[in-house]
Amino acid sequence: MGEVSPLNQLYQRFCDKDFEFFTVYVQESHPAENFGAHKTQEQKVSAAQSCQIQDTIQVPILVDEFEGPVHRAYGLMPNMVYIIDKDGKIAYRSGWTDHKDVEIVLANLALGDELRRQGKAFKTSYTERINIIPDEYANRLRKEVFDRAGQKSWEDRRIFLNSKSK
Amino acid sequence: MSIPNKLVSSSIQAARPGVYNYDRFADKEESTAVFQTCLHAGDDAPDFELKTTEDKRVRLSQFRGHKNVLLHFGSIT
Repeated sequence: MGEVSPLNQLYQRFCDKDFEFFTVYVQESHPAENFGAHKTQEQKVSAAQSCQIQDTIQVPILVDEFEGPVHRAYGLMPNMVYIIDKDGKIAYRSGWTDHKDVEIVLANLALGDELRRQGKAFKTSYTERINIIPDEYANRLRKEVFDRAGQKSWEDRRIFLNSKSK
Repeated sequence: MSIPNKLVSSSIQAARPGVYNYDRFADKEESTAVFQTCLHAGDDAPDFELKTTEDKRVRLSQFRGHKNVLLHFGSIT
């Protein structure tokens, strides 16, 4: 997954009267020697527990069902973020966790809740955007994740890139 | 009293067995197109009920009317 520490910081700041945070534990994106593909639900729960401890994740972790129905319903990408408002509507969805973005959205939703409490009116607008992720940043994250997962993750990625270029 | 929503977590429309929990990265399903089309801001968030790593049951819709919910998806690899 992406960086944990910024998520913990946002959790500490926002998890109070207006917000709940959850991590949904999904398929292993880069199964390798140290952390393999889940063969049973018990193994998936165990992997989630290991992740929670190793990465000192403060956010509660929900473990998806074995074949990933929740992961699939929400879009199947490895590191998504969704923010759902109090009406159960999707207020924000992103294919990658960008903590600066998430912070802005959380603050905006908190503002909406406060305006409602004060009986003040507001409108909403709709946005779509493309986000830039420098390779320097992505490569650093990849190295941390792959080195921990095992050498096979590097080999598997080479195989994948070779098959794409054909 | 609210009528229970359909829960995606108990959906029987699972992926083809053996494909979702792939051993080789090259066997992973392409997901960019899935993500871009499946849901949009303003849609109802699909309801689900899952258990935490501490075995506690959580249903997304239990927070309706009370809390905004952030969902972050990930794994250790």
